[in-house]
Amino acid sequence: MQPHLQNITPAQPRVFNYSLDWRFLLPINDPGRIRVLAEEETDLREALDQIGIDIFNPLSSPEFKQIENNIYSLVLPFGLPLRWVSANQAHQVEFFRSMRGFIDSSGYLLIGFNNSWNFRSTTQAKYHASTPRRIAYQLHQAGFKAIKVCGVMPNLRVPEYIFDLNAQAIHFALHHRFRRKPALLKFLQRFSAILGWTRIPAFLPAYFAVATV
Amino acid sequence: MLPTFVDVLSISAGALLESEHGLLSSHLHWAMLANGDADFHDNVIFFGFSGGQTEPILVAKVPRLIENGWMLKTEYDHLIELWSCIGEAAAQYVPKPYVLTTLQERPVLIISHLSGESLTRLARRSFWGNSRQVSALAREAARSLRALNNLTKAPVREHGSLDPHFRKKADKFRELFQVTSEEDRVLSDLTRKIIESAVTATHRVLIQGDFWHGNMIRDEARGKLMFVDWQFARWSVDVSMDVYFFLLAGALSATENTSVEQRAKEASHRLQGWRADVIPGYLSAYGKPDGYILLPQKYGMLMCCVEKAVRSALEFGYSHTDDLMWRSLFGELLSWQDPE
Repeated sequence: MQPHLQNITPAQPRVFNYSLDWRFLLPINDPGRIRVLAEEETDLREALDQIGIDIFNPLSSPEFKQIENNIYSLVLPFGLPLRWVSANQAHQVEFFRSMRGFIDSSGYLLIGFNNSWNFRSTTQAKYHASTPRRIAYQLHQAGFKAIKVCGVMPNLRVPEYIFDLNAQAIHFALHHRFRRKPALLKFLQRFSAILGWTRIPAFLPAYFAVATV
Repeated sequence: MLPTFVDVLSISAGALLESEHGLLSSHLHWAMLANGDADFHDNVIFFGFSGGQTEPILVAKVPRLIENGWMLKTEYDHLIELWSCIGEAAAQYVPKPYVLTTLQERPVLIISHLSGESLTRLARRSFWGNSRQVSALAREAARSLRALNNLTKAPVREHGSLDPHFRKKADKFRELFQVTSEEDRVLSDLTRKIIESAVTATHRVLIQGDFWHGNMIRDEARGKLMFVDWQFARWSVDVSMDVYFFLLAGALSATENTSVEQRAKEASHRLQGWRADVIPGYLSAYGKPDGYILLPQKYGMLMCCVEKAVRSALEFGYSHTDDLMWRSLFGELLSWQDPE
């Protein structure tokens, strides 16, 4: 580094590796009542601290007591952790059911997950991938009621686009993201013309699902 | 059941659509765009869709951090000012501000959607490396900026003097970065020049404060440039910030993604390359200011560098990685020779 650059005031953090924009899919006025369940990472914890959201560790019994009767949302921003849940469907439903028990009756569960085909994702090694249909089925089985799924591009860590799975929003997000890649856009247009826009959501890289208790 | 933020936004925007457009919109769909990657000091932008329309019907801007609501307030106030100042002509340049409200304790600015293509991602090589294309865009941007400046131009006398506050920015620059004795001298000269020039101005205009191609949208129907993101707008007797920032941001967009020092060097080199055609054409298209100030090239560019290098520190209280790049570009441009 050149000498004239050495004296800059230490950058107060700064841009994290996580945007946490899934918050806007939940009630946002009381971040203190949101808990995040994810594999521990320093940068994630610091980003959450900045917003005032706590990490939730279901293995810690005091935490269980503390959250009793609290209205809050539980967030699994990257999916079901491999370390805690097997790939077995029944096991995953059971995990969701136990999580539902921690959430107040007026609260929400938010889960982000990569599409099963999305092998390039950096979070794929630690979390289960899934599909919107499978997650919706599992959440229903676990007792969750209204379930809404949103599309996410390009990844769960810093989702540049989060959108409703309706034709206009999908069309807009894809055109906005790939407006400088005309060949890809043309391909997507042909693809959607053949399959219809309703099929496009199945090919998105990631999703957020929000479910009421 | 506590409603989600998106639900509350839908209700608020639906009511707004009904009152503004007489549209009964029972349900809005949303696409959320994250601005500035994961930077907590930036906004997220919600594009709202109604009925079967393929284009968004409105845009809602929401700060990631509540304390940055002042940016939306500034943007809203200046858009309101622009619309009341120039009337319906504003629709040709900027979005229409609908409402600044608070939803779930968070400030939300709802504005009209500008239909068109954002120029944010103009290709580094194929666009910024092509002087002919850069010239064409620069001239167009200059003409649009000038037209807008003409519309907001007002005598200073009516509004009292406008202190450019540049001394404070120069002092912050010295505080944040080690400056050489030559740089220190240039900073003092620059401060004096800006203050002396401001005294001679008879008119003020509303400057955008962040006038670069990333904040431009090419209107789909008319093919004209429109300008978004007015959170750094202010009244000023000096248009140098807007005029020169466009050039500097363009030159930086043309650089490889290397170290900040290297990018500053490359940008400076690019600007030198634009001296023959792009810059004269751009400044000529803007024209000679009438009653307000446009600094000579060197002073104007250095002023931009200083303002950009200290903006994060002054506005947000923290340093941004780009600050160093602007500081480095300041150093590179010290040797800039103004044309005779």
